[in-house]
Amino acid sequence: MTDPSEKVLSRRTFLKIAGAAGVGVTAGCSPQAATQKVIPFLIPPEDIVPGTPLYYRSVCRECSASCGLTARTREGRVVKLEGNPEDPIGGGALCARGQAALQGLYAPDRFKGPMRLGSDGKLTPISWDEAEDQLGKALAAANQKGPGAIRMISRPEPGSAGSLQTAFLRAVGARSEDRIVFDPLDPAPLRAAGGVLFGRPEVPVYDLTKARSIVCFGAEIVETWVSPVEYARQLAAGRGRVGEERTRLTWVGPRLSLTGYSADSWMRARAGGELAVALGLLRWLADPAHETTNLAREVRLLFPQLARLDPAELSRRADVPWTQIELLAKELASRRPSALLGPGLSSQGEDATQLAAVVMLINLALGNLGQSVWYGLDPRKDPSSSLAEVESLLADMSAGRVEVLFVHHADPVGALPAVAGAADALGKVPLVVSFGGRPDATTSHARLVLPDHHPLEAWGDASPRLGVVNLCQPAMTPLADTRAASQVLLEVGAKLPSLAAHFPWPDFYEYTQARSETYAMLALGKFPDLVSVQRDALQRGGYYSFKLPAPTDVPELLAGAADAFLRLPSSSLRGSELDLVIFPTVLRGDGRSAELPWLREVPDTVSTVSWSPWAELSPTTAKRLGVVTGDVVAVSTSAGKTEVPAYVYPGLRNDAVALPVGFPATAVLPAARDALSGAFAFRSARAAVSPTGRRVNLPLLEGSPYQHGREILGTVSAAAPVVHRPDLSARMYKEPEHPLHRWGMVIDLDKCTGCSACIVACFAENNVPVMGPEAAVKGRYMGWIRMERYLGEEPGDALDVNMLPMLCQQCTNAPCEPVCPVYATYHTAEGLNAQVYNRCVGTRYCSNNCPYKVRTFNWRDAQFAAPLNMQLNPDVTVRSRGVMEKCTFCVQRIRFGENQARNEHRLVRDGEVTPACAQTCPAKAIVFGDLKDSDSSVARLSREGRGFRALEDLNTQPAITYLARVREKEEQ
Amino acid sequence: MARCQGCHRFVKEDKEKPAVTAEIKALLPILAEGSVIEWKRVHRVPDLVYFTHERHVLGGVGCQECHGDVDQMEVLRQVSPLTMGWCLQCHKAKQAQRPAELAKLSDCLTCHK
Repeated sequence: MTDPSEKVLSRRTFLKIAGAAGVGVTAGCSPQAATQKVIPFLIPPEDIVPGTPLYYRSVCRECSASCGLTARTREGRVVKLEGNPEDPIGGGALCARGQAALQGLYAPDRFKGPMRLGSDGKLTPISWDEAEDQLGKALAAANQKGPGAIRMISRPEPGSAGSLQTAFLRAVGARSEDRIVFDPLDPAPLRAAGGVLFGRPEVPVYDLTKARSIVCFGAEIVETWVSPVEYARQLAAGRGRVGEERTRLTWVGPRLSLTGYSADSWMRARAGGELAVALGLLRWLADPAHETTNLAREVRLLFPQLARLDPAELSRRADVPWTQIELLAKELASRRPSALLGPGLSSQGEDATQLAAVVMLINLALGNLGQSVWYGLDPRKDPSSSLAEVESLLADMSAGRVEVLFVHHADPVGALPAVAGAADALGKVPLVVSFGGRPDATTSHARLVLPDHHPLEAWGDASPRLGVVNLCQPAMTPLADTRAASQVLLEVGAKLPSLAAHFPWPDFYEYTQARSETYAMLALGKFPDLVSVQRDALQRGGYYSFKLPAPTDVPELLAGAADAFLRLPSSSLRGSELDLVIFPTVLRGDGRSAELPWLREVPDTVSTVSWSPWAELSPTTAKRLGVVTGDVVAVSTSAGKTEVPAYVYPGLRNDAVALPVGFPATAVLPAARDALSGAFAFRSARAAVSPTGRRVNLPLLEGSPYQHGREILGTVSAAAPVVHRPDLSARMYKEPEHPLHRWGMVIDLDKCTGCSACIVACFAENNVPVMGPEAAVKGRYMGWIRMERYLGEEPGDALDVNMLPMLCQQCTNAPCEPVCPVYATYHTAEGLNAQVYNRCVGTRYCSNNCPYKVRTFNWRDAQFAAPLNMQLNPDVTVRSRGVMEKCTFCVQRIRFGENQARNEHRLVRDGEVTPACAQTCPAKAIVFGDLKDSDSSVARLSREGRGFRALEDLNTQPAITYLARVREKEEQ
Repeated sequence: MARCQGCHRFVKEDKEKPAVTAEIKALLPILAEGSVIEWKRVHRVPDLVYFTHERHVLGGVGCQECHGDVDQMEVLRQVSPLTMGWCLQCHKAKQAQRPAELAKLSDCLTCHK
């Protein structure tokens, strides 16, 4: 019998012969055909060495948390944003919106220069001199009309820009109330509650690392509430361990939000019932019969009033069994200190201040003030205006009392409910001046567009709390003919003869430097002069003298202040309608209208929907209405009606319908408000939902939200702290050798909050293309990492939510490697599964074989419309159509680290190389390093009892170890 | 140009090679005029290759090994094919000397990341 191998045509030879037919056609091309010209700089730019990144520290302005950031620039272009490790708020991390801010810099629809609305209704470009002249004349004319003719609506500017705006407005004769600070996410009820209870109208600073138990009354602490990056880090610090010392989180609300996914128990209170729960807890704790130890005296004295509340009535109002409330109260009584937070956007109703006050009273009772809740650290710079003040502005605008309105990065048309009539009101103002950089719903009403620099191109500062001043500095020269809004104000002010004396500074930079002298003086001891202090601060990212004060300055309850809050307000009758719950998401933020591609492409973790709004209905409600996911439903309230695709979500009460913040929720929200704080009541409406009979292809990433017995992930508990691992001792394949390093990763699922910051960071770092809604419908999501979200085992089971960030597992026995016909993927000597793009021919067999389905195929050429192509990372190949791609553990960063190490004749140290996902994770859930170094964090963590591998029994031997989520069985 | 002329603002006359002196002297006014020097690129690898001079120079590879006897050339020309096979030839040879440490040299990801 002949040797079969002699007869068999080797794969290589077959392809050579088959390919030869095609080669003849292309033989004419020579690789060296065209001569390239190399044109050097005559005078090279300072500091820039081509190929070496240059880092600038700045501050993120995507929300009011004002986390510090580090901008990585290459050849004068910003290519990636990271956190600032020295900033006490961000702690080196940046959330999804912070990462996406980079696309705002390179957005193709950015205004290229000043524009004026012509008579044809179109914006036409004009010069800055013309624009400022026109503005100056309009201001001078408006001045004649008396106070109130010149107004401004601005985002919060707790720094130089804000103080300049205030000074400018004062100089043009405006009153202090003529400047409205617009922040839809502003926690005004907290401020109001503090003001009434303690005489301290401020937003407290929370230190959740001190809390053994946390209760969120709808406060979305890891998504958008006050300072989400910080809270995620603090919460995660108390996680990642089994037993009593692990921080417990309870979520109270009608809808299980992303923050609720990190919770250990969900108290399914009715929308608006959170107040009843809070009152119930306070009543139980203050009851002398329960002998709660170390209860604050002031709260004990409140018990006679609390005793008038009937537990049965409270339980009925919240639709939560009293035993559950009692259980939570017992937990809070024994686990000290704790932290109770609320309300959040989704629970901010017409009783928001009362809810905030009762929650704060519980904090006071349990001694949390001065431990996990701190007053006295709010710089009170630029507090937001209430909805009442915004509505008053809109009313004045509609009545024709406003001649000139400045709009500074505020989007009232996009973020306010349609019934507020912001669009119509804007139409009545003769001159609307917008400093916005990109077109949004509000700028479309502007007569004069004076585009501001993007924060990455501008100077400035933001002070989110006492002792923290984050400095904003340009990381690159402005891309277009934009000018800093504050600069425009200075220049216009200088041109108006009567006001020239008010502004002695030639430009805004000088102004910020002059203001920063007050902070700089504090650090003068260590430096020879002020300039050195300022330079050092710019390099570090800001002035950081923040320390939590000693726990002695605890506010005292003012006499009689709590009385009004201890009564249960009367409830309105409920019909057949559903409670309308509006929720923010990490990707949508406050609902402003001009969103960024990355934030639309990345699916929402809870619903896995991208590119489209959705309306959540519980399975029971959906069945009753005869609706399935994808059916378009009409949602109507007293304020309006809209049609949205439905998503059936078991994490919602049967008596509620949920819409994400922004459009189209703005079409159906009534302009209700919380009387005490004037804050907008997001939760106030009841909605009628009916099917329309139409269906849409909703872009959903999930295959099925249930595990269906696949044993993808499980949890551990104190009783069973070790994950059962299959026995893989039998070896089928030869073990590969890893002579130097073996890169591995550990992802702690107990810390992961599912916030998607890692996903957006990966898009930014690795030039991952955005494919759009049509591709998303087909499931052609290009992201190298996705958030798997499982709601339980089978549909209909009790909710048991688990999340799994899924990326290429860099398997040792990778199923994708042996099936590639052209050897485009193989196992490297450092433990990575390499994908060589220029060798890939696009058979897609590798993705077919991958059990984790983490390989994505470029079905089309990616489009990076200029100037988005300036954001591309030059260290990473931009893939073209027909090529497979996947996570590479940021091999460009590994190479960079190894290069540095080689230059210094040493090996790479632990912590020196960090992939983009690990670097930005607010919870520090992802750890990367060398598995061969037994002292490295990743090696130590991968040996933990909670560790398991995804689909381990397939024997792929992944390089990623997951640490299981800790879930104690709930006592019912 | 500004970096070099920071020190080299004067050109010494080389009587034996007047043509070379004239060439160098012609470069001097370019900085003052702000005109453009267009170098014709002789050595080029395709965009899909990640090539660093740093690792080669610090790795002890002499310039002549890839670029030939440049000091003998009047006008620079390419003497090596700069094809992948040619690069790998040297990479494999060096790797054979210290296989464990230099495993990266025949790793696709090293040049095609």
